[in-house]
Amino acid sequence: MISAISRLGALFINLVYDSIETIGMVGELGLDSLRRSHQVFRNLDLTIKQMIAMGVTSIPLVVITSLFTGAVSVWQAEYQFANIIPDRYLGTAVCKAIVIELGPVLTSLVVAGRVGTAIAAELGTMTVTEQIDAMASLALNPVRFLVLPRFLAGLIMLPILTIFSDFLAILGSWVVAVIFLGVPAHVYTNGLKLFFNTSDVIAGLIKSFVFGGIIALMGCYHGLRTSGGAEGVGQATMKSVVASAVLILIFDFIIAFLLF
Amino acid sequence: MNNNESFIEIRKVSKSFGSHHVLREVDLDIIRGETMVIIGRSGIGKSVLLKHIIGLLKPDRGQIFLEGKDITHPNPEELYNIRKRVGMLFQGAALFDSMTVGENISFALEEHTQKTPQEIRESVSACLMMVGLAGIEQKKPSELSGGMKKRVGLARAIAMGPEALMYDEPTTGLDPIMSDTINDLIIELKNKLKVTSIVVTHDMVSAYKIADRISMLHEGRILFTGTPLEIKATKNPFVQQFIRGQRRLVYDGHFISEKDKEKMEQIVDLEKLFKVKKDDE
Repeated sequence: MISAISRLGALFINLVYDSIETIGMVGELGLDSLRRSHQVFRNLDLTIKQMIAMGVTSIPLVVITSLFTGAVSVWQAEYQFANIIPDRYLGTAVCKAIVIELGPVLTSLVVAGRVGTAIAAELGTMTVTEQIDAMASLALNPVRFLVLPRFLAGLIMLPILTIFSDFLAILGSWVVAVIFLGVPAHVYTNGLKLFFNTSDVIAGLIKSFVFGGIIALMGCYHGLRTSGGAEGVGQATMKSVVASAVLILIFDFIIAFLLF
Repeated sequence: MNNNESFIEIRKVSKSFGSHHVLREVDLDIIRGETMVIIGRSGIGKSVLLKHIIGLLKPDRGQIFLEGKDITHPNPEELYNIRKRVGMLFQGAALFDSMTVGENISFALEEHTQKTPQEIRESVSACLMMVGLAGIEQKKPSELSGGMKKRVGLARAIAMGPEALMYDEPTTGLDPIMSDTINDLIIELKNKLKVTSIVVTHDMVSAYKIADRISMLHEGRILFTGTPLEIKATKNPFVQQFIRGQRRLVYDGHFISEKDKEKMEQIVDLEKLFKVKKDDE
């Protein structure tokens, strides 16, 4: 019994220790990248390439998820309003939900699944095939050439994708409200404008800025810590997407707590 | 040995990964201009030893000197200088597969030198020419065979004009003819570029051909260091077992029992052990 409790205790201590160690190492990676941010202009092409990979090529995915997010949120909101709350508030509720919460969080989650995993798999493969060691052996810093471009691309592209997502989700909700739910177009549009605050949009963009950093850093961190061949790369990929998703939701709360 | 002529000195270096002790107080001197071949079984820590020299790994204990200067815990600037002076060819060549062959070689040149793009192009083709692969700048690593990849890896390692080259299993996974081509290349680079070479391998044909001296790493320690002739002549059963590729240990024409083997792991001084045995008899 005592040994079981002590094992559980040891497991817990290890978990806490590992978590603190991970936070420390990810923080160090992020700070190291930021310290080197002035070097970005010497290899701007690397960052632009990552911005395209993270942002531009994610647009089709963001288009589909955003349109349907908007569509389903207005459908469910209408169900909840259930003729108790007037339809002119439908647009207001949907717009707030999208701009503050759904746009940044869902965009970040799908990008984490698409881009975070790709980063972890690429860097993980580079690690197990000794390409990272080879880069270091040529006196080329892997943080500068691999982490920094991805980190900056994440910070820049996620807010841009979120702006896309906000527009498309609102468009999707408008189409469903007007065509399927029979809400008059001007009523829904006026609802969208009612209580619209630019600060809400900015809060959403701040969230996505942070989420972009999380996705890139988690991908890089788990990629660079990969060990043990193909299985290790699989593990790294999985860990990066799990860690991103969990951290996105935790930071979503923290930012909401601080801003609202 | 006169320490003044040592290019790299490794002093009592120990390294563990978790509870696995890979290196236990390894002592090794590498003399300027020589080709030192480090042999030993797979997974014994030969590559780990190489990675300590260019700071990819840090020892738990012990010291490493480069031309008498302690580089055990280098600061970023020292690390940068070490890595410019010591090139490395990795086991799988470790070419950056998102880049072409030319970009792989020019990457470090663009970052570390003030050369113009034209000069860099010339350097790249000169390096490729030296490894016998002129004109493949535009190919991607995925289009190359194993032997070609290793040679491109070598071209990349020599591009910065290093004083020492480290080879991690340069002939592993290659056919015998390609292996010999690589061996010739190692000898040629040593003669032409006057580099100090450190080669990690378990290919004895290659070791005998290229080595000035051979060291054997066994159970985390350097068990033997000597010329190819000396290593062939030694009575050390572990060395003989390895260089002849035997499953069982033999000493003085007799198989050694498991019990004696355990004893020998503890008492490295074999002559003493066998003297004790003879006295017993």
